[in-house]
Amino acid sequence: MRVELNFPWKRYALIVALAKAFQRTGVPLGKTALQKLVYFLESVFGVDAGYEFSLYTYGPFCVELLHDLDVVEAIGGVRVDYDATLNWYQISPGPRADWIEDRGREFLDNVASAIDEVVSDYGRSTAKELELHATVVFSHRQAQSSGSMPQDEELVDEVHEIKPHFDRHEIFRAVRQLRMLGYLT
Amino acid sequence: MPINPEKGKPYKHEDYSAAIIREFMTDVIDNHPDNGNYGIGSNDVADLIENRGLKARQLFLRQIISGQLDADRADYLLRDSYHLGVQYGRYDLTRLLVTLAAASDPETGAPLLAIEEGGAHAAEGLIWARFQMFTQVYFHKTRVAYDHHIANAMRVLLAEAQADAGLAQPDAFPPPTSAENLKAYLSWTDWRVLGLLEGGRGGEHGEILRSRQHYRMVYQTPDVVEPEEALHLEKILESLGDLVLHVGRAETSWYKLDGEIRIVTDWPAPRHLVPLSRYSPAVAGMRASNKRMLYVSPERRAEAMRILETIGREGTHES
Repeated sequence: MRVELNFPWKRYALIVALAKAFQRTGVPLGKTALQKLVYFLESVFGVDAGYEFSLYTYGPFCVELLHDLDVVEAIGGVRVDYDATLNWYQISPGPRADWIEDRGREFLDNVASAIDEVVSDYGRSTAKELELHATVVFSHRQAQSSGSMPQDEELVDEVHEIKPHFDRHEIFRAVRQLRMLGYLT
Repeated sequence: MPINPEKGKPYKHEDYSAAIIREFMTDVIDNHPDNGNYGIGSNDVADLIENRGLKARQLFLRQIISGQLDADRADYLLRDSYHLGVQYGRYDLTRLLVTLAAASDPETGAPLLAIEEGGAHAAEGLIWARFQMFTQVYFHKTRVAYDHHIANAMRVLLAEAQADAGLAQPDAFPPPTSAENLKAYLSWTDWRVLGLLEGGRGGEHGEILRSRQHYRMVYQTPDVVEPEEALHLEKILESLGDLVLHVGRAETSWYKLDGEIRIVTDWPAPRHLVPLSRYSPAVAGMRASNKRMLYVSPERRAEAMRILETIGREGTHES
């Protein structure tokens, strides 16, 4: 039986593809945005990248995605540069971006429209907005998985308990925006 | 681990821990007469471990369970170093604990576990200790081989013991879905496993463990497998063919730039948070590892090395 090397090329390619998509918009991709956009791709758009998200300090978060980002940076797929003025890290395509994308080409071709849509919806959101919106979607999905369909009021209550540093008006607005975008179905 | 049918992914050990707490420890945690518990019940503990239904205070506490400064990491580095007789995992735990602080994210207001500036080098030391333990111990070529052998021996032991148990995956631990399953899971102690192995059980890999005829590493990549190395590795795997019985993986990030350790500093004023990677060039320079190691049987090692010599190139890592 032949053994496999099991490099997750499609996951690496997804990270590169998001970096490239943001570069085209002219808006830098941050680490929070990467986490939340991949979360939306998996949970809302059904993209099977194999990540599993849990709720952490800044909303849905996947440790494996972080590791993959580290690896993709190390092998030249992206650059991760620190902006001291803004005090955050920016992710941009690296010198080997094309090579890594080619390795995951089949996967990327199948998810290209989902990537375009999620970048269009959230490409200009702040880290705070992404944290809130992703937490709303996470709470909604958790409620659904335990058999309930929460009304907006219940969802706001739930998210406010998790994230009391967001006021209820902010959360309501987020819920409405997400419903309009079709992220809460 | 068995596959969780709801998620399509293997159960994690946290799933077992949470289930054990809920099933067997509710009384001792919730009702112990000497234990005030600060209002924390067994379900709170289980939820914290499973990362389920967490609210604001619990998200803060979660960082102590899982994060770059978590209690498990702080413990195992020192404990493993002591029991293994190595120095790699040692760091200044006392200083780290004394300088722990609570802070809030300046952008989102989220509560954070942070380190006072006086403990920054202790935090750096923990990161470095982890790097050393992984590269020198946990990712050691022989240890990686034995991981493979014990896992496969366990599959045989489990399949033999659970042949009539009606499980969907008899060669995996029973899922953490009932008290009976949890008791069966807990019965797989070191004593039991080592006794079965000593008694000749465990199949082919059990015999390998007893005789110490473990698979031998014949090729390893650098810690970071860059594109050219990935192509070369594929060529090597193709050339070695069925000789390769196992591909070992040494994958981790030494320091994650998301969820960074934050240092509380007054310089320059006012008091603010600085990510550890900005404070420590050593930590900032650490790169992730996605190393691969190719293993063959000891009897065919010489044959594999001959094949590798025909492929070898300058700078290739061979053993």
